[in-house]
Amino acid sequence: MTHATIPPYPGIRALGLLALAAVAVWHLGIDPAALAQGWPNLLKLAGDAFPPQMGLLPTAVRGLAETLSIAFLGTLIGFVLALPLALVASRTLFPLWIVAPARLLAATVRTLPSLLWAVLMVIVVGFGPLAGVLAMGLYTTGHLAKLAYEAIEGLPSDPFEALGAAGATRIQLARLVALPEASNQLLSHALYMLEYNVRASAIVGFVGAGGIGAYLSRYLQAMQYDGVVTLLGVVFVAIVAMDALSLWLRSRYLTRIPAAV
Amino acid sequence: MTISTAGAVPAIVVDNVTAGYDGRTSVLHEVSFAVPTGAWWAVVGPSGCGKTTLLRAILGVLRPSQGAVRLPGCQASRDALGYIPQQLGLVRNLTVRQNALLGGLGRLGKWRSITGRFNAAEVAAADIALEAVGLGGRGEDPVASLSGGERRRVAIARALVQRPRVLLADEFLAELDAVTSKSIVDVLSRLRAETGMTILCVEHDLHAAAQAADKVVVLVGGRKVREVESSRLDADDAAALFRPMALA
Repeated sequence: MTHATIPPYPGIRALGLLALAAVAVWHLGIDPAALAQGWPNLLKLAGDAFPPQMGLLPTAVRGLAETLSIAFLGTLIGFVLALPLALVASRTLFPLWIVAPARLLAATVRTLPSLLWAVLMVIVVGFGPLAGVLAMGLYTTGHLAKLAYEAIEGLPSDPFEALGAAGATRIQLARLVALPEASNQLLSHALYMLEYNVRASAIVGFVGAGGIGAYLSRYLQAMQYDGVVTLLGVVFVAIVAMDALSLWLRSRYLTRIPAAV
Repeated sequence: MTISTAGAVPAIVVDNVTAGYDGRTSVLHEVSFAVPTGAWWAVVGPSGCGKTTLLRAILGVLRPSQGAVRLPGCQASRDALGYIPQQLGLVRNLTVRQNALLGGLGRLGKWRSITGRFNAAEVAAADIALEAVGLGGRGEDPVASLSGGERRRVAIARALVQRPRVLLADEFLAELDAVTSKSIVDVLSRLRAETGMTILCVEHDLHAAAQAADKVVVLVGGRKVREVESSRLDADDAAALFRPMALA
């Protein structure tokens, strides 16, 4: 043997991917010249956007508070609904005839992205933050339920076997084994969903479901880019702060995960 | 061969059991024995001889393709059967005391199963059990911080709280040093003397099994080759156990 290669081996597959990308570009009718024509627009945008509208800050902060409230309530509702759904959807705890419909329900709720849930909820309960909270809550339920039942199914099976043989009921196994054993992962997933929901709830305002997105949409349509930059800046700071808070919470509560016994 | 249950009342009856996993190949072949109430028996054999399959058949997780398993004293209550799997079955995120408390699940009502609340008497019973296995004052320690021997003691404390009529244990004495192994056997022997429970353990180490059990069932290639008092084990038994390994 004269040579050796460490995987991955891109080779012919990379060429295939490139060909596929070329087909996609052709299919979309993308004209590379448009990129060059975009430069002047970018410069105009930058000129219009700076300096940002500082007078808009109080409004932006009010919108952000609404967005954060929507994200928090949506995550909380989703967490509360996802936990029982995840337990019922775990093969560790329940037979297939109970697990299958529970998973189908979680998958169905998860199919729509939060933005489409927001459109539906605006139709159902009208414009405003309630639509945002319900949309976030529903999406979180489906997504978190999947993460949670996978966490529960990944737990070591021996406590379930030992206590199941000793006559523990399914409720006991769920409450006294699955939940404490998976609690670190469940908390970690809930924090991840909160981070995700803060980002997503900045968008749902575009379809009238409340929060800072409503202001963003209004200023974009009016082409007041100095206002848009102010709003985006506030969203940016909030998301960075949220990530930092999440990191701190993780290090504070989740680093004591004991090594596998 | 049908097992005779005359004489001492059996707690575990394995009657001509043939069992396997995919419905065709059998891991166990026509295995029969009856463990008298209050006795401590061990099933010994090399890896892959069907020990864990036998345990699963006794637990009811695996249905024998032929023969039957009966646990005559275990119909009375749902917590009459205790099981300590090879990995012990402890809830790793809970403390030593909380794990011991889980032995009392059979007596916990529906509401308290949801609240997860144990009363003062139950906590006191768990602490007494921990004291009995030499873990007094360690109740608040996370299980994950304990050594292998200490974790086995927690599993025994949980069994003490449960007080099963029959206790099944899988490789309970494996990978322990002689001193720890002896102290654990002592604790379990005391528990057996106090409660009259029957113990059936599965071990690959003949010496550890002989040290603990009154009687040893030797399993080789899924068949029972010998059933002998621990005190009467001889070189032939050791040879029967190690021959398949030598061939492998």
